[in-house]
Amino acid sequence: MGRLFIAKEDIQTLIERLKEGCDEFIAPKKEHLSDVIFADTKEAGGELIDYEGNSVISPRAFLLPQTEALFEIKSIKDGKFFPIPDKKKRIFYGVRPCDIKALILMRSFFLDEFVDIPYKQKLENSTFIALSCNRLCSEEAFCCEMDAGPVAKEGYDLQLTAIGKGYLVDVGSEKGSRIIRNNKKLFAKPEPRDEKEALETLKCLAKGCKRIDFKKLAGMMNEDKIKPSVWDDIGLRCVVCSGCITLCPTCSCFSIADRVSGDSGIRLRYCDGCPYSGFTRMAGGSTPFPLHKDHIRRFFEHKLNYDVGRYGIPSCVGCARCINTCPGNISIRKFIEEVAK
Amino acid sequence: MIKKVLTTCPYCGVGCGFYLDVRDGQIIGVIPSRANSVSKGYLCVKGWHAHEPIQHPDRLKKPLIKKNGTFKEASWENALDYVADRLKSIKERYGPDSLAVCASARCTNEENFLMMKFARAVLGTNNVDHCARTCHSATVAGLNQSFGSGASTNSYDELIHMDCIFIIGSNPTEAHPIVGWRVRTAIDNGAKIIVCDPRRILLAENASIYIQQYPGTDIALINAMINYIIREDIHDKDFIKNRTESFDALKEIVKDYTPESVKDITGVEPSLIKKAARLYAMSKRSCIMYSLGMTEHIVGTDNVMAMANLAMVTGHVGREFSGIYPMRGQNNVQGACDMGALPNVYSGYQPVTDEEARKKFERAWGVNLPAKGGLTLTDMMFKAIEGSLKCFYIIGEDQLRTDPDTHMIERALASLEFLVVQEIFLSETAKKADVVLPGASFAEKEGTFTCAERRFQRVRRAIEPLSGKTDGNIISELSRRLGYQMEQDPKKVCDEMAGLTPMYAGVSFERLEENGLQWPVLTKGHPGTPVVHLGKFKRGLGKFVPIKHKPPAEVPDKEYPFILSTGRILFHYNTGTMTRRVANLSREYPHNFVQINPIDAGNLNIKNRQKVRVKTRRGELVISAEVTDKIKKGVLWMPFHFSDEPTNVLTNSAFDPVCRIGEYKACAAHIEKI
Repeated sequence: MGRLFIAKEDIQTLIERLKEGCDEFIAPKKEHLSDVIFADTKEAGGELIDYEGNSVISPRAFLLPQTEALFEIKSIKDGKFFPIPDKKKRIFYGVRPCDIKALILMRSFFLDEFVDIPYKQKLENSTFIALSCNRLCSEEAFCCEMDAGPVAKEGYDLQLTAIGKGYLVDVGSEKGSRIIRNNKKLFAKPEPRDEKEALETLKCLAKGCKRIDFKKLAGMMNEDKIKPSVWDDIGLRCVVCSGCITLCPTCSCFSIADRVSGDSGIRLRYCDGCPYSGFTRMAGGSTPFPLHKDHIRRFFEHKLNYDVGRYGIPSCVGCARCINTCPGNISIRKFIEEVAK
Repeated sequence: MIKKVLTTCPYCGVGCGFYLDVRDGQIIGVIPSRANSVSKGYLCVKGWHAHEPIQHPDRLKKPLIKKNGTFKEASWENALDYVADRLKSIKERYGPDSLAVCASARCTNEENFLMMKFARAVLGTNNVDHCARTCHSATVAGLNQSFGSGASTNSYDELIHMDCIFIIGSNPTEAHPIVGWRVRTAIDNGAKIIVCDPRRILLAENASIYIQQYPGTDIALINAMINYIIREDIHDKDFIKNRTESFDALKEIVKDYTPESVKDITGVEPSLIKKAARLYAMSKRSCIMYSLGMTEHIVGTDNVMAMANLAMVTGHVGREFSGIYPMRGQNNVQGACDMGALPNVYSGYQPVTDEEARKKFERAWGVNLPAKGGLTLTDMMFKAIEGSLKCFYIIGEDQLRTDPDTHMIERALASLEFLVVQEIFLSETAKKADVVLPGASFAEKEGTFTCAERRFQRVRRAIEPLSGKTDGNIISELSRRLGYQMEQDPKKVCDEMAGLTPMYAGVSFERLEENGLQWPVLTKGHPGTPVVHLGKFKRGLGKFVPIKHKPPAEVPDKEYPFILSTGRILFHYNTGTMTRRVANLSREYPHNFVQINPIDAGNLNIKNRQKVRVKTRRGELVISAEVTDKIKKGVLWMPFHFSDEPTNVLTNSAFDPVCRIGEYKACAAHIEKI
């Protein structure tokens, strides 16, 4: 299906219709003062149709929540366990291209080899409507350098690109085509000058951006060619807040815990990962990476080296969430710039 | 149903803002608020996991009454009737001063106001206190004498613009990580950091000057700095002349403290003291940051005044980008003090002995109020053992794990006729209670907390109280049973408090909506006060109080050759009732440990992670050793978060004579390998 156009006044109509067909309509919403965070606006309303910046949390917070009950333990004694399925139909609106790219990577991790049923279930019941960027979401963002913005190339069901009078619409999947078919009257063919307008904006944003040579970077990391002082500095900065791994749209690590009272309770999984020394501690108490700097190095290596080997691309999408939440002022962007220069 | 509830972190005194992520009634995560002026989108590891303990299955949900030594669940009606009856009969039999209330720095301002009102107006005693006694009572007492106000002089946001930050007895990146972020940013902006700590803490690695003094020798260290500053003629003469008094007395006393003469006491090279003194004095924008490493000594109050002397002698106070930052330990320990949960003052530090203030509260509450100051938490324990204190009502505090010399506290609690504990988990202290009333966590209530920069911030309800009642509800329902009606709606309690307290007169829930307010807030239109003592100290002239070094109550000897100090680690919070129920935090540090220098360890043939016995005159503990060069030779250090391996069986029940704080930071100890 070719590119389409939807007028400003019709987008709200489309949103209202979409809300009718889902359980949760997850869209960016203005919370306290300038905070923008994905919220369920199906009943409450208040979604931002066009917005600046990005949500503090990414769609990951819905597909792999910070804590997630996996199953109910009715009786440990009798071995009675019941899965807690999440079959909610969700439409995500206004997802930024960086987060769309992150979803592709997460899909590979959770569905390609070992299939993670709770993730798969939620992913398959989700529809993603992307909204391309016409300005950087924060000073630290570097999506263009990571080839993850300002537009998504794939991974969305629909993608909107704002122009003066409305939005250009790209269709990326059968789910997306279905939305178009069901709301035919709202969409039209774009005029050539609309396409030109969109192109101008995107060009403007991408101006001066230099894609990083991620293969070269991965190679350097693989050969341990990073100056040791870089890792030393990072080690002295990290205060193990875990904000980076909690907000990163491509962090997939989790651990399992039981919350039991007497004979019953729940099993949950929760966000876990690199910064903790306990994350890789062995049963005997020793750890293969005893030094703290190596824990954060693990995070960097995973995003910029191992995943290049595994998926052919780095799993950092340049959203800058980890930078903006790091109490040690660690910047993966600065790391890349300094190392790759 | 997805809901996001903006609230304030329940852990340390920094006061970070986040949203609780509530889905179908379950709190599943935490989302930092970038718009919050305190935390700006940053959180520490405890904050990121603040949701986990809230709906933990171990939460107390029903009142418990002890019968023949075992707890039986009871209805709220029965439990409250029973508690009210017992309180009434003890009061009738022994008089109101046989009862005492321990309010809670974990609860809201409004609840603390109700608690102190309950003690004073309902029970009829000024015996009300809370855990500030064991953390920053020295700050309130000390800074009050020096400046006329016992709280932080300046605001967090000034920190990143400082040229020099003098950090003593404080470990910001572990104990107050989002203030630690500001120190980190100051370093990145080019600030010079001076760290004084018996342990080489993380910030020491980036410090321009690191001083590793012995615990309990801070006055000698600071006096030597002042001595050097005066001798080098780099003191701020204009400031001293115009804004202070009694400089000559200070000059006289510091004469005996040269950097050379304190070398043996402090274990610090004189050249380092000189360098630090010069850097602090000569930097344009200098401030001091401290916490319990300074206060938890028998000379806690003196330590605080010594720092005030240092700040005044160099003119680094009473203006923007300067000052003294006491880092408060608990989410609302500032607020609990502010609300008058102290034995000598009503809200806003209005003395109970001031007849005018007392009359004002009497008129407002319609009762006669006791005119004599009450007992401190410390002395409540002594009076319980002596027998004159019969009943203790404790809210949200675990004295058996937090107070020094656990065995003494055990004796004190066992001596009581009636002990009520209001708690969210069955703490060690709660286990000793006659009645346990299930309180509510921060996520279950409306109200306000006040953070270390004197900022009132809103706390908002994300879920209904698991036990059906908030701590405020419980107090007010007990009060009604004792014949006194109390307003319990938090918003109205806040208004009542503001109406009775000139310093917070302009505070209301509406005005706190945006980003809170920093007190003093004198009128409804007052913008709040980021910097105190501008142009003039609260007391008029800043007072130099001459301070002499005094060694800790217990110093090393042959039998107990080490100095044992204690403190907080990043991953746990106080007695660990919450953090040890968070999977990742507990995994990071599941057990207690003792840090020992490799030289000492070598001499005693102690290896890393080996079991050792640590012994003091109060008790002993078997734990594992952490051999690390981060700690000074001759010093041992232990955290206090592990209820099953409780450090405070070892600490000393010696107290500051003024503020009655315990000496957790220095006692004599023996260590041996097993």
